[in-house]
Amino acid sequence: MTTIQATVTTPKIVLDTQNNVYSFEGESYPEDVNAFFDPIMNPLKTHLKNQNDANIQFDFFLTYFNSASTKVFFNLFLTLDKISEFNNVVVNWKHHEEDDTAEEFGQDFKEEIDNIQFNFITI
Amino acid sequence: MTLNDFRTLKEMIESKNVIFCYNGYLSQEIIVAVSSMIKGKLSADETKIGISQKVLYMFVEQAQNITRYSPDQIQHSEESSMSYGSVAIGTEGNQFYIMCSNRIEKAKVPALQEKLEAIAAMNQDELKALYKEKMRSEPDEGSKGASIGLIEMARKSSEPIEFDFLENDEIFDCFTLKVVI
Repeated sequence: MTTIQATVTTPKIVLDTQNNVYSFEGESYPEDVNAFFDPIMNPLKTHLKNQNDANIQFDFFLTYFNSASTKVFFNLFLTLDKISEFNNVVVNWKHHEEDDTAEEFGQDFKEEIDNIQFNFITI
Repeated sequence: MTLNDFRTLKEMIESKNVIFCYNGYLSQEIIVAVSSMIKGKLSADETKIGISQKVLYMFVEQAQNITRYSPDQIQHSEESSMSYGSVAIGTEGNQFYIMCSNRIEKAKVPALQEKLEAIAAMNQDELKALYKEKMRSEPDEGSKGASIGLIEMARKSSEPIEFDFLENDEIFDCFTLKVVI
């Protein structure tokens, strides 16, 4: 299991590849989004694409993220959508009850993916 | 600048209900610090989370656009650079405004202007469609961000975005953008 601690501009990331449980929690607006996320997302996507008949869970609780981070997460969702053909993928999108901005981001993601169970959870 | 000049400047700023106003070199560290201030101030004012998140979003997008695209950039260490520009956040009636301004090479103006004019003329459905198209495509040429920041600002803005490009000198124009929540 890999845990990357949060910084003021990057979320806490937990990657439990053995159990296929992943979480992203906090804020995401690093100066160079690709420099931060590429080393995390590239191996993660490779791992996910190798899964077959697995239960895969992603928990997101992102209180704030910039537009470049949005694209990073969107690309991850596209991968999840692809692998959902062969796996059971669940996304839990958490947001503060009054934070309609985070909720709207979740809705945008949800609309673009077909085969994933996408749960909205208010905190 | 005389004491009077500075006071006049301060009074001008205060008359516009400014929460924050900055003119100078912006860095990621400053963006982080100001974000923290915005959260603290809006939370103390009991601003709804949905609104304060939008204000924060607009500020970070605008400030990071300056750090990415302002031509007046100083690389002060291998990893850090800072860029000259202006940002202001304030209130007008029951709305927040978030504005930014920086110089831009004249050669880059037509492409940005065309993009902004198209975005400003779109309704919410059209903005959403364009946003999703951009999410699926590669970033625009010369864009270091996701090229969706401007679209997202227009989607979150409660009124059409306002912008202009004014003559600065032979090489540069001055680009100014305003959004309202």
